[in-house]
Order: sequence, then structure tokens, then C-alpha cells
Amino acid sequence: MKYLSLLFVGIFVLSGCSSLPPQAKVSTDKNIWQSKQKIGVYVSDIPKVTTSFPGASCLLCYAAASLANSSLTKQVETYEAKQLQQTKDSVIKALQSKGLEVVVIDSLIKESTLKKLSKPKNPHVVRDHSIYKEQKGIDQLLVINFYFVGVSRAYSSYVPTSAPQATVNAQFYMIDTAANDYTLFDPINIVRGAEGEWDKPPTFPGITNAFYQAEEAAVDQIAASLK
Amino acid sequence: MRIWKGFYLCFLFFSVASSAQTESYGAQNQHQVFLKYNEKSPFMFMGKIDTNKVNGASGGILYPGDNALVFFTAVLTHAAISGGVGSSRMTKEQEEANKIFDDYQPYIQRFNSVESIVVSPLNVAANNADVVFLTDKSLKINAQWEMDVAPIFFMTQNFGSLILYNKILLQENVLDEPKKRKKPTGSSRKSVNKNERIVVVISDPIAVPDYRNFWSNNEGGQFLGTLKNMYKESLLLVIANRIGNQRAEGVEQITVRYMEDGVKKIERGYVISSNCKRTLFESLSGEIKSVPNLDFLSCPSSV
Repeated sequence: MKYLSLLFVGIFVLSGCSSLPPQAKVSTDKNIWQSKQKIGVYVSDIPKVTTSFPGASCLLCYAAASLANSSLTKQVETYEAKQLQQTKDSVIKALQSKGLEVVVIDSLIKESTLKKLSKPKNPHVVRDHSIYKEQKGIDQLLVINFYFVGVSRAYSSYVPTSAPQATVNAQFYMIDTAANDYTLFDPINIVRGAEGEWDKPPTFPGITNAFYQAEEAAVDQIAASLK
Repeated sequence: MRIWKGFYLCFLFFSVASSAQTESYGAQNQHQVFLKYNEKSPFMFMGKIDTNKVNGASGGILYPGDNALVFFTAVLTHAAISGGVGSSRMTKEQEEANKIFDDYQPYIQRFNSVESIVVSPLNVAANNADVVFLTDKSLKINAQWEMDVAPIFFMTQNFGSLILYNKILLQENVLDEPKKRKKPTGSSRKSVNKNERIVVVISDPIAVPDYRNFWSNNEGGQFLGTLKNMYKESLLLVIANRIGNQRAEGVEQITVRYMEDGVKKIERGYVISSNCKRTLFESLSGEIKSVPNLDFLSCPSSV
């Protein structure tokens, strides 16, 4: 009986986790841009542009995938994400042009060290961000956190299951530090395939074009959200 | 139509006849470019497959896009049709995309007629290079410059752009000095330099919202005029330079942004020249591309 009730509790907890729908896109209310709020801006560094092989999960699989795509990796690592590197400057300029006061934040407070909210307004924002308001007077915290910029190719163990695709992934959100809710949520998941044949070493023109198209799309997405 | 054909036959006769008179031929034709084309179907028209829709529906499997590959696929198709094999090589997607030209068939028939081949102001604009048009591709030409073309026009699925892919082979025949020749007749070609390029020309952005009807303006005059200008530009780009490489040494690779079908397109390349309206660049695949800039419509009309 004891084990049965534990099982029920387990099922209840697991089903509760899985039933939380993903955070929907949130567009910023124009009133925020027109208000005199102070915006804290955090933009991470751009990670090294390289290749990734999701699905090549075992160590040997990954080594095999890396070896098989070594010429592609060599080319991809020559790409310069110059536009993305200018993200911080362009975001600050865009906000300042609206008359908003901008505070540049060099590093975020570790999420797990923030206080837990007793009654979160949004189940996806369970930590209290008011510390940013208390410490720096920030009304809105805008975060762009790049975690992959490069070319990814899906694998199933040793076998490639897709052509390489230029990819830019980043968190992109803004949180009202008093309300602890998103005022902008627009994650960047740009994927661009080569137009035509991709496998043209050593310069891979199709992949090169796709990479810069993905970079431009990411820049455009950020700019559009801040309009 | 008959007049033009007569004109061609005369020209053809003159060209062939003069090729037998080898003594002064090289000097006489230094500024002449002999352009061969297929009389039966000089131009091919294909709908541009919307790669976003097709790739999205196929779960990321890649279909040929707007690059050299699709061009060569088209050339193969062209060859198959010209050879009477039929359109069996066409994919379903391509057949579907080709329907974009259904409304314009009467104009296409007009364009594929002989008078459209000869672009009258070409001679003046090409730095005094006379262009002699020949219908017989198998004809052996005894001249310094000859050109073989395979033009294909694409239209985008929103009717927003016409795109010309013209595969142009410019061949320089190095002629013997007349005095050094042992035999006064026969082919005088000593050695050959070949330069093959794909020239891509994208039509100007359309200022009106109704793209579809725009092309029918002036009873198709808008459509025909655009095709003719694009074709002319592709030839001039090759003829005027006479060589394959057009970009200067040390030019950096940059991101070129241009308009196609009413939307922004991105491509890496090496800029050859640019003005307010258009940019000419060499793509990473080696194609020469003439494209309209993003702010084309805000440029002064005199540019």
C-alpha cells in the first residue's frame, strides 16, 4: 500500500511536470518603450563559431562524426560572426534612441541564487528578479544569451541523419523585475540549410551562405522585437 | 518575322562565305562576337521553386535552390526538351512551379521569336563590339570571338521577380598571322581560350502592389521589355570584359543584401561594382550576379 501511494505521488509529480506548456512568445507592449523605465541589458559573448553533431552521443560516435566532418569544421571555424558581435551596441543604441535609460550588465546573478517566489505569476519565472531593481534600479532586465553559433548536423549514433545546417541559438527575453514576468520572450532558434548541394569542400559555398543568412536572421529578429 | 529570318540567312551566308577568305578575316572581326543560339527554343522559362515551402514540407531534405545546381538541372531539362525526349526529368515540384508562366505564354512565344534575339542597341553599348547572331550551333566559326549561350528565365512564385540564369561560354580563337599560313584555306584556329560563366540577373523591384498584373502592362510590353533588358545585360557583362575574371585582386568577401520577390535576400560574395540601384558581384560559386539593392525604389530615377 505504501509503495502504491508512492507510485501515485510519483506519477502525479511527473505528469505535473510534463503538463507545463512551453512559454509562448511574448511581444513587448509598446507602452514599455514609451515609458521612462530603466532597462538593464545583458548580452553574452558570442561562443566560438564551430560545428556540432547532436545525436552522436557516445564518445566514439562523436569522434567519428568530427572526423567525417573535419573539412567542414575547418571552414566553419573561419566564419566571423561580426554582426552578432555588435549585438550589444546595436541593442543599446536601439533602446537609447527611444529615450530609454540603459544600464549595461556585465554578468547576471546566478539564477539558482535568486530567491524563490512563493506565488509565481508565471510558472516559467519562479525566481525573484527584484534584486536587480534594488541594486541597480532596473525596471526591465533584457537578456540575450547566445549558446550556439555555427553549423549543426544531426546524427543517430554514427549515421548522419541530416545535411549540415547553419544554426544560431540564443535566449532572448526581458523580465519586469517588479512583476517577475516576461515582457518579452522571443528565443532565437535560427536554422538555415544550404540552397542546393552543400557538400562542396573546401569552401562549402552553400553552407557559408547559409551561415551568414542565419546570422542576419538573428540580427533581424532582435531588431524587430525592439521596434 | 520573315524579314528577320531573311536577314539572318543573309548574315549566315555572309559569315560562312567570308570565313573562307582567310587573308583579312582576323583583323576584320576583331570587334565581332559571334553568338550562337538554339533557333527552336532560344530561351527557356521555368518557375522558381519556393525552397522555403518545399524544404519545410520535406522535413529539411534539401531541394535545389536558386544557384548553379538548379541552373544545370534546368539546362538538362532544356536539353531533354530540345532533343524531343520530353519533360520526364522534371520533378513534380518543378512542373508545379512552371505554372507561374501560364498567363504569359503568348508573350513568351513572342519573345522566343527571332526579333527578340537581336537586341538592337547591343552593338553600340558593347564598346563597338558587333554581335552577330547565328542560329546554327554546329557551325564552325572562323573568328576571334565566339559565344555560346543557354539562357533560362525564372519567375518567383509571388510574381515579384524575373531571374535570368545565362550560362555563357566566351571563346577566344587565336588566329594565325595571314602571312605565316602555309595553306590559304581551311580553319585558321590555332589555339583556343575558353571562359565559361553563369551570369545571373534579377529584375528591378516592382513598385506597385499587384505584381501579377504588372507584367501584363502595355499588352505584355513590360514583361518583354524586362526580359530583353536582362538578356542584354547578361551578354554585355561578358562581352564588355571579354574575360572571365572581373573582380579586382584583394577584394574582401562581404554579405550582399538585395531584393528578390519583394523580400530581402542574403548572399556572400565579392563586389565588382555598385551604385544606388544595383550591385554586381561574384558569388561564392563563381556566378556573376547583377542584383537590385534593398533601397532600389528610393534611388533617384536618373541613376
